[in-house]
Amino acid sequence: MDQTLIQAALVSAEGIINQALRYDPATSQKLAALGPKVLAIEIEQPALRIYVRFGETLSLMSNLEDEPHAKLSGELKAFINLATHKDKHAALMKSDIQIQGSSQLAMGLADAMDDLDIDFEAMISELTGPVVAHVIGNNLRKLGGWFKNTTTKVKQDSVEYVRDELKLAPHKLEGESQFTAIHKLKLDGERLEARINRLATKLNQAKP
Amino acid sequence: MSEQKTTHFGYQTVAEEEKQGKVAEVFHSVAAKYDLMNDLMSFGVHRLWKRFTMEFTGARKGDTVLDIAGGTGDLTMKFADLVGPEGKVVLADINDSMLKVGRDRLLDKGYSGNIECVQANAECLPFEDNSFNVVTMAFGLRNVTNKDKALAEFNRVLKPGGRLLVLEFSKTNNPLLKKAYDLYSFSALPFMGKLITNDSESYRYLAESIRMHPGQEELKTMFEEAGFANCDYHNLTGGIVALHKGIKP
Repeated sequence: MDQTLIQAALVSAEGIINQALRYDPATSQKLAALGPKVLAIEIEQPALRIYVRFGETLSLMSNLEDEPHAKLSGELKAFINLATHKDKHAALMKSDIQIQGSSQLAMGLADAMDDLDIDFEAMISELTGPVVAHVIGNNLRKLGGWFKNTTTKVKQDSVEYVRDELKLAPHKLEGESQFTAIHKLKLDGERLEARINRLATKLNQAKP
Repeated sequence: MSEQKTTHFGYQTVAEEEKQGKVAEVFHSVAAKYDLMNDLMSFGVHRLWKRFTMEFTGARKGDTVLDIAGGTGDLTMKFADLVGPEGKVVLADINDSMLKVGRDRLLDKGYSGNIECVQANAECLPFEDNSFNVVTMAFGLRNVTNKDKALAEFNRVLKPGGRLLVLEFSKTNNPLLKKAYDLYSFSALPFMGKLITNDSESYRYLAESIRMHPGQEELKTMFEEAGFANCDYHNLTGGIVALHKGIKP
Protein backbone atom coordinates (compact mmCIF):
# COMPACT_ATOMS: atom_id res chain seq x y z
CA MET A 1 0.00 0.00 0.00
CA ASP A 2 1.28 3.50 -0.78
CA GLN A 3 2.83 5.17 2.24
CA THR A 4 0.75 8.31 1.65
CA LEU A 5 -2.44 6.34 2.35
CA ILE A 6 -0.86 4.69 5.39
CA GLN A 7 0.18 8.11 6.72
CA ALA A 8 -3.33 9.45 6.11
CA ALA A 9 -4.81 6.54 8.09
CA LEU A 10 -2.28 7.02 10.90
CA VAL A 11 -2.80 10.77 11.14
CA SER A 12 -6.59 10.26 11.34
CA ALA A 13 -6.32 7.53 13.99
CA GLU A 14 -3.81 9.60 15.97
CA GLY A 15 -6.13 12.62 15.87
CA ILE A 16 -9.14 10.61 17.07
CA ILE A 17 -7.20 8.91 19.89
CA ASN A 18 -5.60 12.13 21.14
CA GLN A 19 -8.91 13.97 20.93
CA ALA A 20 -10.63 11.22 22.95
CA LEU A 21 -7.83 11.13 25.53
CA ARG A 22 -8.38 14.84 26.20
CA TYR A 23 -11.60 13.77 27.92
CA ASP A 24 -9.85 11.26 30.21
CA PRO A 25 -7.02 13.23 31.88
CA ALA A 26 -6.14 10.39 34.30
CA THR A 27 -5.41 7.90 31.49
CA SER A 28 -3.74 10.63 29.49
CA GLN A 29 -1.36 11.31 32.41
CA LYS A 30 -0.56 7.61 32.82
CA LEU A 31 0.25 7.34 29.11
CA ALA A 32 2.38 10.51 29.21
CA ALA A 33 4.40 8.97 32.06
CA LEU A 34 5.39 6.14 29.68
CA GLY A 35 7.06 8.65 27.31
CA PRO A 36 9.24 8.94 25.37
CA LYS A 37 9.19 5.15 25.00
CA VAL A 38 8.00 3.43 21.84
CA LEU A 39 5.85 0.31 21.67
CA ALA A 40 5.59 -1.77 18.48
CA ILE A 41 2.30 -3.53 17.78
CA GLU A 42 2.71 -6.30 15.23
CA ILE A 43 -0.41 -7.99 13.94
CA GLU A 44 0.30 -11.20 12.04
CA GLN A 45 -2.86 -11.65 10.00
CA PRO A 46 -3.41 -9.26 8.29
CA ALA A 47 0.27 -8.23 8.44
CA LEU A 48 0.44 -4.81 10.04
CA ARG A 49 3.04 -3.08 12.20
CA ILE A 50 2.41 0.17 14.04
CA TYR A 51 4.69 2.01 16.43
CA VAL A 52 3.22 4.04 19.27
CA ARG A 53 5.36 6.78 20.82
CA PHE A 54 4.10 7.80 24.24
CA GLY A 55 4.24 11.38 25.47
CA GLU A 56 1.91 14.31 26.13
CA THR A 57 0.09 13.07 23.04
CA LEU A 58 0.33 9.67 21.37
CA SER A 59 2.14 9.44 18.03
CA LEU A 60 1.47 6.62 15.60
CA MET A 61 4.17 5.68 13.10
CA SER A 62 4.63 3.10 10.37
CA ASN A 63 8.45 3.11 10.54
CA LEU A 64 11.01 3.43 13.30
CA GLU A 65 14.74 3.80 12.82
CA ASP A 66 15.62 2.59 16.35
CA GLU A 67 14.54 -0.56 18.15
CA PRO A 68 11.22 -0.16 20.01
CA HIS A 69 11.33 -0.48 23.79
CA ALA A 70 8.73 -3.26 23.67
CA LYS A 71 6.86 -5.26 21.06
CA LEU A 72 3.46 -6.92 21.25
CA SER A 73 2.84 -9.46 18.51
CA GLY A 74 -0.05 -11.77 17.78
CA GLU A 75 -3.13 -12.33 15.67
CA LEU A 76 -5.77 -9.64 15.22
CA LYS A 77 -8.25 -11.82 17.17
CA ALA A 78 -5.98 -11.80 20.21
CA PHE A 79 -5.72 -7.99 20.12
CA ILE A 80 -9.50 -7.63 19.77
CA ASN A 81 -9.98 -9.98 22.75
CA LEU A 82 -7.52 -7.90 24.75
CA ALA A 83 -9.22 -4.64 23.80
CA THR A 84 -12.65 -5.91 24.85
CA HIS A 85 -11.50 -7.58 28.08
CA LYS A 86 -12.20 -5.67 31.30
CA ASP A 87 -9.02 -6.62 33.15
CA LYS A 88 -6.45 -5.90 30.46
CA HIS A 89 -3.52 -6.60 32.76
CA ALA A 90 -4.70 -10.17 33.42
CA ALA A 91 -5.87 -10.62 29.82
CA LEU A 92 -2.46 -9.64 28.47
CA MET A 93 -0.76 -12.22 30.70
CA LYS A 94 -3.14 -14.99 29.62
CA SER A 95 -3.51 -14.06 25.94
CA ASP A 96 -1.71 -15.40 22.86
CA ILE A 97 0.00 -12.02 22.46
CA GLN A 98 3.77 -12.26 22.75
CA ILE A 99 5.62 -9.55 24.65
CA GLN A 100 9.22 -8.79 23.73
CA GLY A 101 11.43 -6.15 25.31
CA SER A 102 10.29 -4.10 28.28
CA SER A 103 7.27 -5.91 29.75
CA GLN A 104 6.99 -2.95 32.14
CA LEU A 105 5.98 -0.74 29.21
CA ALA A 106 3.38 -3.26 27.98
CA MET A 107 1.98 -3.63 31.50
CA GLY A 108 2.01 0.16 31.95
CA LEU A 109 -0.13 0.47 28.84
CA ALA A 110 -2.47 -2.29 30.06
CA ASP A 111 -2.81 -0.55 33.44
CA ALA A 112 -3.61 2.77 31.78
CA MET A 113 -6.19 1.18 29.48
CA ASP A 114 -7.83 -0.67 32.42
CA ASP A 115 -8.98 2.66 33.85
CA LEU A 116 -9.93 4.21 30.50
CA ASP A 117 -13.04 6.29 31.06
CA ILE A 118 -13.65 8.84 28.34
CA ASP A 119 -16.13 11.53 29.30
CA PHE A 120 -18.22 11.51 26.13
CA GLU A 121 -20.74 13.87 27.70
CA ALA A 122 -18.01 16.54 28.07
CA MET A 123 -17.03 15.89 24.44
CA ILE A 124 -20.61 16.43 23.25
CA SER A 125 -21.10 19.45 25.53
CA GLU A 126 -18.31 21.31 23.69
CA LEU A 127 -20.45 21.15 20.57
CA THR A 128 -23.94 21.45 22.00
CA GLY A 129 -23.67 23.03 25.46
CA PRO A 130 -24.13 21.24 28.85
CA VAL A 131 -27.94 20.89 28.93
CA VAL A 132 -28.30 19.24 25.54
CA ALA A 133 -25.20 17.12 26.24
CA HIS A 134 -26.74 15.88 29.51
CA VAL A 135 -29.98 14.90 27.76
CA ILE A 136 -28.06 13.14 24.95
CA GLY A 137 -25.78 11.48 27.56
CA ASN A 138 -28.77 10.18 29.58
CA ASN A 139 -30.45 8.79 26.47
CA LEU A 140 -27.21 7.20 25.28
CA ARG A 141 -26.71 5.59 28.70
CA LYS A 142 -30.32 4.28 28.62
CA LEU A 143 -29.77 2.99 25.08
CA GLY A 144 -26.50 1.35 26.15
CA GLY A 145 -28.23 -0.34 29.12
CA TRP A 146 -31.11 -1.54 26.95
CA PHE A 147 -28.65 -2.86 24.32
CA LYS A 148 -26.64 -4.73 26.98
CA ASN A 149 -29.76 -6.28 28.56
CA THR A 150 -31.23 -7.20 25.19
CA THR A 151 -27.98 -8.83 24.04
CA THR A 152 -27.77 -10.90 27.24
CA LYS A 153 -31.44 -11.90 26.96
CA VAL A 154 -31.20 -12.82 23.26
CA LYS A 155 -28.13 -14.92 24.02
CA GLN A 156 -29.92 -16.68 26.90
CA ASP A 157 -33.16 -17.23 24.92
CA SER A 158 -31.38 -18.60 21.86
CA VAL A 159 -29.52 -21.13 24.01
CA GLU A 160 -32.81 -22.24 25.59
CA TYR A 161 -34.56 -22.41 22.20
CA VAL A 162 -31.84 -24.57 20.64
CA ARG A 163 -31.71 -26.83 23.71
CA ASP A 164 -35.35 -27.10 24.85
CA GLU A 165 -37.44 -26.44 21.72
CA LEU A 166 -35.33 -27.73 18.86
CA LYS A 167 -33.62 -30.34 21.05
CA LEU A 168 -30.45 -29.85 19.03
CA ALA A 169 -28.19 -29.60 22.07
CA PRO A 170 -28.33 -31.29 25.49
CA HIS A 171 -28.74 -29.43 28.77
CA LYS A 172 -25.47 -28.46 30.44
CA LEU A 173 -26.00 -31.03 33.25
CA GLU A 174 -26.91 -33.75 30.72
CA GLY A 175 -23.79 -32.97 28.76
CA GLU A 176 -21.61 -33.01 31.85
CA SER A 177 -23.11 -36.37 32.95
CA GLN A 178 -22.53 -37.77 29.44
CA PHE A 179 -18.91 -36.59 29.44
CA THR A 180 -18.36 -38.10 32.91
CA ALA A 181 -19.74 -41.43 31.68
CA ILE A 182 -17.49 -41.31 28.59
CA HIS A 183 -14.51 -40.51 30.77
CA LYS A 184 -15.36 -43.40 33.14
CA LEU A 185 -15.72 -45.75 30.15
CA LYS A 186 -12.32 -44.60 28.86
CA LEU A 187 -10.70 -45.32 32.24
CA ASP A 188 -12.44 -48.74 32.45
CA GLY A 189 -11.19 -49.57 28.96
CA GLU A 190 -7.65 -48.62 29.91
CA ARG A 191 -7.85 -50.75 33.07
CA LEU A 192 -9.19 -53.72 31.07
CA GLU A 193 -6.41 -53.31 28.53
CA ALA A 194 -3.81 -53.32 31.35
CA ARG A 195 -5.31 -56.50 32.85
CA ILE A 196 -5.31 -58.31 29.49
CA ASN A 197 -1.69 -57.27 28.96
CA ARG A 198 -0.76 -58.54 32.43
CA LEU A 199 -2.58 -61.85 31.79
CA ALA A 200 -0.84 -62.23 28.41
CA THR A 201 2.55 -61.64 30.06
CA LYS A 202 1.80 -64.25 32.76
CA LEU A 203 0.69 -66.80 30.13
CA ASN A 204 3.88 -66.21 28.13
CA GLN A 205 5.99 -66.66 31.26
CA ALA A 206 4.09 -69.88 32.21
CA LYS A 207 4.92 -71.55 28.85
CA PRO A 208 7.73 -74.13 29.16
CA MET B 1 38.03 32.72 -23.75
CA SER B 2 36.51 30.30 -21.17
CA GLU B 3 33.06 28.83 -21.87
CA GLN B 4 30.29 30.03 -19.52
CA LYS B 5 28.86 27.26 -17.32
CA THR B 6 25.09 26.81 -17.66
CA THR B 7 22.35 25.12 -15.69
CA HIS B 8 18.58 24.64 -15.78
CA PHE B 9 16.05 27.08 -14.49
CA GLY B 10 12.89 25.12 -15.20
CA TYR B 11 13.02 24.44 -18.94
CA GLN B 12 15.29 27.43 -19.58
CA THR B 13 19.05 27.17 -19.76
CA VAL B 14 20.69 29.97 -17.80
CA ALA B 15 24.21 30.85 -16.67
CA GLU B 16 25.03 29.17 -13.34
CA GLU B 17 25.43 32.45 -11.52
CA GLU B 18 21.98 33.59 -12.70
CA LYS B 19 19.98 30.64 -11.31
CA GLN B 20 20.33 31.57 -7.65
CA GLY B 21 18.94 35.06 -8.29
CA LYS B 22 16.06 33.73 -10.38
CA VAL B 23 15.12 31.14 -7.75
CA ALA B 24 15.31 33.88 -5.12
CA GLU B 25 12.84 35.97 -7.15
CA VAL B 26 10.41 33.04 -7.26
CA PHE B 27 10.49 32.54 -3.51
CA HIS B 28 10.35 36.25 -2.65
CA SER B 29 7.20 36.33 -4.74
CA VAL B 30 5.48 33.31 -3.16
CA ALA B 31 6.78 33.50 0.46
CA ALA B 32 3.75 35.22 1.97
CA LYS B 33 1.27 32.63 0.67
CA TYR B 34 3.65 29.67 0.52
CA ASP B 35 1.81 27.52 3.10
CA LEU B 36 -1.61 28.24 1.67
CA MET B 37 -0.40 27.40 -1.83
CA ASN B 38 1.28 24.20 -0.65
CA ASP B 39 -1.94 23.04 0.96
CA LEU B 40 -3.99 23.93 -2.09
CA MET B 41 -1.58 22.48 -4.66
CA SER B 42 -1.03 19.19 -2.87
CA PHE B 43 -4.51 18.97 -1.28
CA GLY B 44 -2.71 18.90 2.06
CA VAL B 45 -0.76 15.76 1.14
CA HIS B 46 2.59 17.55 1.63
CA ARG B 47 1.93 17.25 5.37
CA LEU B 48 1.74 13.45 5.03
CA TRP B 49 5.00 13.38 3.02
CA LYS B 50 6.72 15.43 5.75
CA ARG B 51 5.24 13.21 8.45
CA PHE B 52 6.67 10.18 6.67
CA THR B 53 10.07 11.91 6.52
CA MET B 54 10.03 12.40 10.29
CA GLU B 55 9.68 8.63 10.79
CA PHE B 56 13.12 8.14 9.24
CA THR B 57 15.06 10.83 11.07
CA GLY B 58 15.90 8.75 14.13
CA ALA B 59 16.24 12.08 15.99
CA ARG B 60 16.39 11.81 19.77
CA LYS B 61 16.32 14.16 22.75
CA GLY B 62 19.45 16.34 22.78
CA ASP B 63 20.24 15.95 19.05
CA THR B 64 21.31 18.79 16.78
CA VAL B 65 19.35 19.06 13.55
CA LEU B 66 19.76 21.18 10.42
CA ASP B 67 16.57 21.83 8.43
CA ILE B 68 18.05 23.37 5.29
CA ALA B 69 15.70 25.11 2.86
CA GLY B 70 13.34 24.80 5.81
CA GLY B 71 11.11 27.58 4.50
CA THR B 72 8.13 28.05 6.73
CA GLY B 73 9.43 25.63 9.35
CA ASP B 74 7.08 22.61 9.07
CA LEU B 75 9.85 20.10 9.83
CA THR B 76 11.62 22.45 12.26
CA MET B 77 8.58 22.43 14.55
CA LYS B 78 8.42 18.64 14.59
CA PHE B 79 12.16 18.42 15.27
CA ALA B 80 11.96 21.00 18.07
CA ASP B 81 9.43 18.74 19.85
CA LEU B 82 11.58 15.66 19.28
CA VAL B 83 14.99 16.98 20.39
CA GLY B 84 13.57 18.83 23.40
CA PRO B 85 15.10 21.80 25.22
CA GLU B 86 18.48 20.08 25.49
CA GLY B 87 18.70 19.74 21.69
CA LYS B 88 18.97 22.32 18.91
CA VAL B 89 17.30 22.80 15.54
CA VAL B 90 18.71 25.16 12.92
CA LEU B 91 16.16 26.44 10.44
CA ALA B 92 18.19 27.57 7.44
CA ASP B 93 17.08 29.02 4.13
CA ILE B 94 18.87 30.98 1.44
CA ASN B 95 15.85 33.19 0.95
CA ASP B 96 15.32 35.86 3.61
CA SER B 97 11.63 36.31 2.77
CA MET B 98 10.97 32.61 3.40
CA LEU B 99 13.10 32.65 6.53
CA LYS B 100 11.19 35.64 7.93
CA VAL B 101 7.86 33.91 7.31
CA GLY B 102 9.23 30.73 8.94
CA ARG B 103 10.66 32.55 11.98
CA ASP B 104 7.40 34.48 12.56
CA ARG B 105 5.35 31.34 12.20
CA LEU B 106 7.52 29.48 14.73
CA LEU B 107 7.23 32.32 17.24
CA ASP B 108 3.47 32.56 16.70
CA LYS B 109 3.18 28.85 17.48
CA GLY B 110 5.24 29.26 20.65
CA TYR B 111 8.48 27.71 19.45
CA SER B 112 11.67 29.29 20.74
CA GLY B 113 14.69 28.42 22.84
CA ASN B 114 15.95 25.40 20.95
CA ILE B 115 15.59 26.90 17.45
CA GLU B 116 18.04 29.09 15.52
CA CYS B 117 17.21 30.76 12.21
CA VAL B 118 20.12 31.14 9.82
CA GLN B 119 20.23 32.51 6.28
CA ALA B 120 22.48 30.04 4.52
CA ASN B 121 23.32 28.74 1.07
CA ALA B 122 23.26 24.93 0.87
CA GLU B 123 26.37 24.99 -1.33
CA CYS B 124 28.54 26.68 1.33
CA LEU B 125 27.07 26.08 4.77
CA PRO B 126 28.29 28.35 7.58
CA PHE B 127 28.67 25.47 10.05
CA GLU B 128 31.62 23.53 11.41
CA ASP B 129 32.43 20.00 10.25
CA ASN B 130 30.66 17.15 12.09
CA SER B 131 28.13 19.35 13.86
CA PHE B 132 24.70 17.80 13.13
CA ASN B 133 23.04 14.47 13.88
CA VAL B 134 20.45 14.95 11.17
CA VAL B 135 20.22 17.14 8.06
CA THR B 136 16.91 17.39 6.22
CA MET B 137 15.96 19.20 3.05
CA ALA B 138 12.32 19.13 1.99
CA PHE B 139 11.49 20.33 -1.53
CA GLY B 140 14.65 22.39 -1.78
CA LEU B 141 17.31 20.39 -3.62
CA ARG B 142 15.86 20.95 -7.09
CA ASN B 143 16.34 24.71 -6.64
CA VAL B 144 20.03 24.35 -5.80
CA THR B 145 22.35 25.27 -8.68
CA ASN B 146 25.14 22.82 -7.84
CA LYS B 147 23.49 19.81 -6.22
CA ASP B 148 26.73 17.80 -5.89
CA LYS B 149 28.33 20.64 -4.00
CA ALA B 150 25.34 20.88 -1.66
CA LEU B 151 25.35 17.12 -0.98
CA ALA B 152 29.09 17.29 -0.21
CA GLU B 153 28.40 20.15 2.22
CA PHE B 154 25.66 18.13 3.96
CA ASN B 155 28.16 15.31 4.32
CA ARG B 156 30.75 17.69 5.79
CA VAL B 157 28.48 19.16 8.47
CA LEU B 158 26.98 15.80 9.51
CA LYS B 159 28.52 13.90 12.39
CA PRO B 160 29.76 10.40 11.52
CA GLY B 161 26.70 8.15 11.72
CA GLY B 162 24.45 11.17 11.10
CA ARG B 163 21.80 10.96 8.44
CA LEU B 164 20.72 13.06 5.49
CA LEU B 165 17.08 13.01 4.41
CA VAL B 166 16.03 14.69 1.20
CA LEU B 167 12.33 14.86 0.38
CA GLU B 168 11.82 15.95 -3.19
CA PHE B 169 9.53 15.65 -6.18
CA SER B 170 10.56 12.74 -8.35
CA LYS B 171 9.47 10.58 -11.26
CA THR B 172 6.43 8.34 -11.43
CA ASN B 173 6.47 5.14 -13.51
CA ASN B 174 2.70 4.89 -13.67
CA PRO B 175 1.72 6.16 -17.17
CA LEU B 176 -1.83 7.10 -16.14
CA LEU B 177 -0.69 8.96 -13.06
CA LYS B 178 2.02 10.68 -15.12
CA LYS B 179 -0.56 11.95 -17.63
CA ALA B 180 -2.87 13.26 -14.92
CA TYR B 181 0.06 14.76 -13.03
CA ASP B 182 1.40 16.54 -16.15
CA LEU B 183 -2.01 17.94 -16.95
CA TYR B 184 -2.45 19.11 -13.37
CA SER B 185 0.97 20.68 -12.97
CA PHE B 186 1.14 22.50 -16.30
CA SER B 187 -2.48 23.70 -16.39
CA ALA B 188 -3.94 23.85 -12.90
CA LEU B 189 -0.85 24.92 -10.94
CA PRO B 190 -0.05 28.12 -12.91
CA PHE B 191 -3.77 28.98 -12.86
CA MET B 192 -3.93 28.57 -9.06
CA GLY B 193 -0.71 30.58 -8.75
CA LYS B 194 -2.23 33.38 -10.80
CA LEU B 195 -5.42 33.32 -8.77
CA ILE B 196 -3.87 33.31 -5.30
CA THR B 197 -0.44 34.96 -5.54
CA ASN B 198 -1.00 36.76 -8.85
CA ASP B 199 2.09 34.99 -10.15
CA SER B 200 1.63 32.14 -12.63
CA GLU B 201 5.28 32.14 -13.76
CA SER B 202 6.62 31.01 -10.36
CA TYR B 203 4.30 28.02 -10.44
CA ARG B 204 5.18 27.24 -14.05
CA TYR B 205 8.82 27.20 -12.84
CA LEU B 206 7.78 24.81 -10.04
CA ALA B 207 6.31 22.33 -12.56
CA GLU B 208 9.29 22.66 -14.92
CA SER B 209 11.91 22.36 -12.18
CA ILE B 210 10.28 19.13 -10.99
CA ARG B 211 10.63 17.64 -14.50
CA MET B 212 14.29 18.68 -14.69
CA HIS B 213 15.19 17.26 -11.26
CA PRO B 214 17.09 13.93 -11.22
CA GLY B 215 15.00 10.77 -10.85
CA GLN B 216 15.19 8.34 -7.94
CA GLU B 217 18.13 6.22 -9.12
CA GLU B 218 20.13 9.22 -10.38
CA LEU B 219 19.78 11.04 -7.07
CA LYS B 220 20.70 7.87 -5.18
CA THR B 221 23.94 7.69 -7.21
CA MET B 222 24.60 11.37 -6.40
CA PHE B 223 24.22 10.55 -2.68
CA GLU B 224 26.74 7.72 -3.02
CA GLU B 225 29.16 9.94 -4.95
CA ALA B 226 28.91 12.56 -2.19
CA GLY B 227 30.19 9.94 0.26
CA PHE B 228 26.99 8.69 1.86
CA ALA B 229 26.49 5.03 2.80
CA ASN B 230 23.32 2.89 3.05
CA CYS B 231 21.67 5.11 0.44
CA ASP B 232 18.06 4.30 -0.18
CA TYR B 233 14.80 5.94 -1.23
CA HIS B 234 11.08 5.47 -0.65
CA ASN B 235 8.53 6.45 -3.27
CA LEU B 236 5.46 8.30 -2.11
CA THR B 237 2.18 8.82 -3.97
CA GLY B 238 3.26 6.58 -6.83
CA GLY B 239 6.71 8.19 -7.09
CA ILE B 240 5.52 11.78 -7.47
CA VAL B 241 7.64 12.39 -4.40
CA ALA B 242 10.59 10.37 -3.06
CA LEU B 243 12.34 10.39 0.28
CA HIS B 244 16.09 9.80 -0.11
CA LYS B 245 18.20 8.69 2.82
CA GLY B 246 21.95 8.43 3.31
CA ILE B 247 24.21 7.89 6.32
CA LYS B 248 27.58 9.58 6.77
CA PRO B 249 30.02 6.72 7.40
